[in-house]
Amino acid sequence: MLNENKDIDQLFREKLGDFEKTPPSFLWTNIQVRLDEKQNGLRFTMVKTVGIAAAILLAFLAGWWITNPTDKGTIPQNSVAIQNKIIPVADTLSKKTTEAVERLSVNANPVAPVHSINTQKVDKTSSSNLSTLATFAANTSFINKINDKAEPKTSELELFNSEKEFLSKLQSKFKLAKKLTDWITTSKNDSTTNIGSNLKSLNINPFNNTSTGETISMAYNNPVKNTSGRWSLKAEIAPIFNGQPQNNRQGSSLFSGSQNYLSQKTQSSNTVSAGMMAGYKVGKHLVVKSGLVYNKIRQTTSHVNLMGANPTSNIPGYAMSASTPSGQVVLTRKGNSSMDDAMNFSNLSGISTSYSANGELNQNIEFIEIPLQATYKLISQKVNVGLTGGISTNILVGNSANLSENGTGIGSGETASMRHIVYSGAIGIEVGYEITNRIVFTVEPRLKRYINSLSSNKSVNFKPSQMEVVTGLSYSFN
Amino acid sequence: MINLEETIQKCASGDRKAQTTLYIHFASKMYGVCLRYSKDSAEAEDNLQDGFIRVFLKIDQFRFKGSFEGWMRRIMVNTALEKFRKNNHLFAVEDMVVYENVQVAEETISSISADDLLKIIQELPPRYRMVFNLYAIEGYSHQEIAKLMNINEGTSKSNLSRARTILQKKVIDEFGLEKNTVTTTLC
Repeated sequence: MLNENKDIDQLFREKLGDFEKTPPSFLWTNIQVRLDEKQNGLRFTMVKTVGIAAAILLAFLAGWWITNPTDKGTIPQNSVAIQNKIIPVADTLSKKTTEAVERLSVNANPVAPVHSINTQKVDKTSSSNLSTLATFAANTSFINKINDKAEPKTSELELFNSEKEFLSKLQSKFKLAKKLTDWITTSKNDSTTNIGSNLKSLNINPFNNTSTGETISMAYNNPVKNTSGRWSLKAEIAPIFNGQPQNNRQGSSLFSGSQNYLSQKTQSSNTVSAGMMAGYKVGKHLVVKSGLVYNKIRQTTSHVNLMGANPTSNIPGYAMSASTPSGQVVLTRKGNSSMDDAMNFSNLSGISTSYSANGELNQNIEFIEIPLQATYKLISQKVNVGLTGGISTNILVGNSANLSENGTGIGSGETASMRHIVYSGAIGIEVGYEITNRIVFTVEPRLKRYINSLSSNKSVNFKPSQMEVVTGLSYSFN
Repeated sequence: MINLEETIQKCASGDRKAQTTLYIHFASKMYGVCLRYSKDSAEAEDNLQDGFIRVFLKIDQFRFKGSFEGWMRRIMVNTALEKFRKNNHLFAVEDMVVYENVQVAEETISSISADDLLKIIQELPPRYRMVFNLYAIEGYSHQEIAKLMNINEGTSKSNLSRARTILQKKVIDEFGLEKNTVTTTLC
């Protein structure tokens, strides 16, 4: 009898030492998801950082251009540098000229009409930026010379002669200044059609009037900016017609063998995208754009086959999983259902689908898209037409799945192994109508295709295509 | 039967199919290990999940010296131990008790299922369950257990003794075992 007895240690060692039990099927799905997360973790962190930085930069640029529209389309004061002359501040010149004329008006009543005309001219031109060029015409040395001559003299006749001389010289200078301003205006207009030219400096001598005998050199710090709305901001919204998934693709190799026997069918639903885009005109025909756009993919799977849906373990909180073209869907049971586990059938081929006929699975996958697009304008009239192409970084912001039976929700969860960052390409034809000079209404049919699979599971190749009709309202600045 | 060496090598390169094959092959055994170290199936599932992730992340470090199953088992045990160390900071008062070694009749043993014993072992306080598993089933010494659990050897012995007493009482209560012989031993 003693030989047949065992102590408590032995009892447990023998019974439990090699104890085995099959774990729940959803565990493997969870393990795959976490493995993918660990593998993609570092890459995602880096891409996310770059994405956020790009978004902040875009927002900053948009804000800057919105709040500083006055800088655009004007020539910076320091962009015109006069060489070979000592010119103090233009305002000083203007003041000196005005003072000189005023002195003359005090001392020379007979020429008051002439003087008043010239004074008017001085005042008028000094009110604009271009007045700096006009007043420049009356340069310091000249004015000083005139001032000396305009000093009170004992003889009124002498004074009158000197006034006459001054005024005639002043008139010639105004002519010179007018030519100069005309040239500037012309060159500005020309620059709108020659944006790409790298004109840094230009030596000119636009004056036939050789009274000054000097060449003026104009140095451009910056090319003159285009005045016709280089920056634009566009609000857009689009219905999305999602391409239908291929139902023979499945989400996981673990369950792939059990998916070919029932009429489970997945269909895509139409959704909507919306966003804001900033555009920058880099040439007469070319506009580059970027921004932030919300985008959604929605899929509905009818007659869904479930793993872990055994009615005997019909307990809220239990996990279930389903295989769809976009990958494994992991669900937590919310309530009772009559649906059975697809794995419970030993011979699945030819079996009725009635047990899962009422199950419907909805998957929502949401992205924030950061596009980089280029539009080449073929026609730039009141109605303009352009070709658009670009690539986008899509950041996953929403991933949810809901299971219902006869319209009653019985489970919720998410699609497993979704990539946090995916890339897509798009092409389209943009047709715009200019409502005003600044506001353009656009319609753009666009084809979009995801470049890499939305799932990181190697068994899943889910690269959906989308057809969008993007409707937008664009506002140009400056 | 799987080609274990080839499967391990593929797993090391991140092959998802190989990982699936390996999981299917070992999941039941490792789940059995995890169940013994846990208070219920939910905790065991967590440990199995964490353990397998660790296996796949470290599988490239396996040098084919010794049993792969033993290597995996150690990872599962270590996973359970880490969780125990994280969640159990209070140390029991060290004491030395005398364990009355009750021997169990062979014919009675056959009527007890593994699930019954698993239920009893899962009801043990966490520290006793750990020490009993490590000593009685895995075969670790008290010195090794003390190191693994960050306790001293005396505590390990005391915990083992208490675990045995509780288990013995429960087995007798539930299965009505006869006390054939009583031998007194110090653990």
